[in-house]
Amino acid sequence: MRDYLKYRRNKKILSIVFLLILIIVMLFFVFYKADEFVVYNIRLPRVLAAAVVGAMLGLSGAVMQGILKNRLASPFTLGISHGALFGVSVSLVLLGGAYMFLSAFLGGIFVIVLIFLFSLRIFSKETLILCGIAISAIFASFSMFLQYFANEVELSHIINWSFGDLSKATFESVKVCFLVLAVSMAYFYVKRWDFNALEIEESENLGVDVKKLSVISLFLATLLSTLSVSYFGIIGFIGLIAPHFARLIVGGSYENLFFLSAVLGAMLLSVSDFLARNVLYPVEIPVGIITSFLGGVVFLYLLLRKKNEA
Amino acid sequence: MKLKIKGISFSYKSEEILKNISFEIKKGEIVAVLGKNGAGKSTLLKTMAKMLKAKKGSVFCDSLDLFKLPRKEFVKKLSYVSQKQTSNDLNVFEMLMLGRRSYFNFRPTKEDFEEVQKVIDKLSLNHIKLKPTKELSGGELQKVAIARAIIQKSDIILLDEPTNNLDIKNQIEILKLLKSLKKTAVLVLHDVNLAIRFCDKLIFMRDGKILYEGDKSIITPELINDVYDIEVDICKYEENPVILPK
Repeated sequence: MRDYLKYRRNKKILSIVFLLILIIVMLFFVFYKADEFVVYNIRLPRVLAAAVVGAMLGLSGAVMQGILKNRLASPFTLGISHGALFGVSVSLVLLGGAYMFLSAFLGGIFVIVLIFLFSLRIFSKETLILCGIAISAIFASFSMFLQYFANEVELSHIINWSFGDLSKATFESVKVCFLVLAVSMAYFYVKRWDFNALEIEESENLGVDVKKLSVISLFLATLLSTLSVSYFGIIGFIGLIAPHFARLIVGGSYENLFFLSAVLGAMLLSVSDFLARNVLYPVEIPVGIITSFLGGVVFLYLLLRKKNEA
Repeated sequence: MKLKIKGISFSYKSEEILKNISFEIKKGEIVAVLGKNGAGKSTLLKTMAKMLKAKKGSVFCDSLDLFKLPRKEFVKKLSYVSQKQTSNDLNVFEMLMLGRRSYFNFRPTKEDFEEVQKVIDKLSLNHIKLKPTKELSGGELQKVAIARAIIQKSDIILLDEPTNNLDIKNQIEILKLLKSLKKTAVLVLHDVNLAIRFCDKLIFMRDGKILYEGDKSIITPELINDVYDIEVDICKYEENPVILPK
């Protein structure tokens, strides 16, 4: 028993070490080549936004992977981000920018309900990602349809959103995102052993209310990812990569997995945003381009590894 | 303690899979459920474990109706080990802790850790307890699943094909382990000879109904023919009937 407790304590310490590294990285990014005005008015909200949004996406990905029992699940690969982007497009083109979050959330929730129903009845967990790709394509076509009829200003807004960009971060948006992140993290922390139970066939016979857990968790995971899309656009792959790296570091138990997925998500997006600001300095590129590139490479690696394991 | 299965029926869409199944089990008895593929054996176990919702009927432990218990209380009375044991990133200790899920709320207590360790010692799993379950062999995985059911501390254990995909050495090891636990258990088996040797009671199903039930003395070539549609000879070895296909 002692060796397991020691193993468990070591994993906890490891998670905290990563949190400390994140804080140091964030401080460096805030003060890197910036005067006092830039630090407090531009850099601080942006670095905080990168950390909070990265944590939201990392957590959201870990939850989706747990509920759908598919390690390739994430808001991006399941099509939720594209559902939310379609919602944003509807708001920008048809509603003059009003109800943006609500439209994004409705777009995302529609997709997750479809995915959940498909996962129960039609598709195996292996083919679920293909279903996500199909849904992404359908919603991308809806968004393009709206773009075709949009005026120049609306069009530039939609394209900006589809890139994913943290330059519009404000303290206000960070506050809202942080609040939703904190509430969701508290819920998932309480339910971490139920998520462990979901890993086996007999989870219901262990006393877990699987249906209730799935519905609440997917609702919160969708809320996390669509909120980030409605503020900052599509930031792909963080939700896929962060839980994967977290699993490599602390193992499969959700005791530390939710926390570390959020921390690594925050770290990945912070670093990506730093690169986006500095790679072609003084030209700034949208962070979504960096995360999509990195994520695409890791996604291919995961697919190849899965094939080799099979 | 006596376990009574009373009039369980289960339908999927319009098809009746289980038709009014009733039988009784005494404390400490190991019961084998046998029959052809599609006879309804696994469905019976899943319905008893409330993984599937029975159309009618219930499971009673003495006079207590188990189906009326809240979920967390029910799983303390009856544990279920499925046919398909999934291996994943959880290590063996974490996997076994799942057996205590209905005993703790927020986090496992010292008592939970001790209970898990006790069973690890009892089943000699110490050498693999920090190993991810995805690195275990089929036999080890099945042993861990049974250990988890023991940790659940239920009165009855249901096991769906616990010897599935195991070699003969591991099959016998698993059945010997079950026998040594002296717990009330219902298991679905395909090998009638193993069932005769290790189980106290045999239930033969066909088309969602019980055709025969009793101890090994009920085994005759006619019974096997009725259940499996095959011709067999029966000989005796150490007082046990042994089935030999013709």
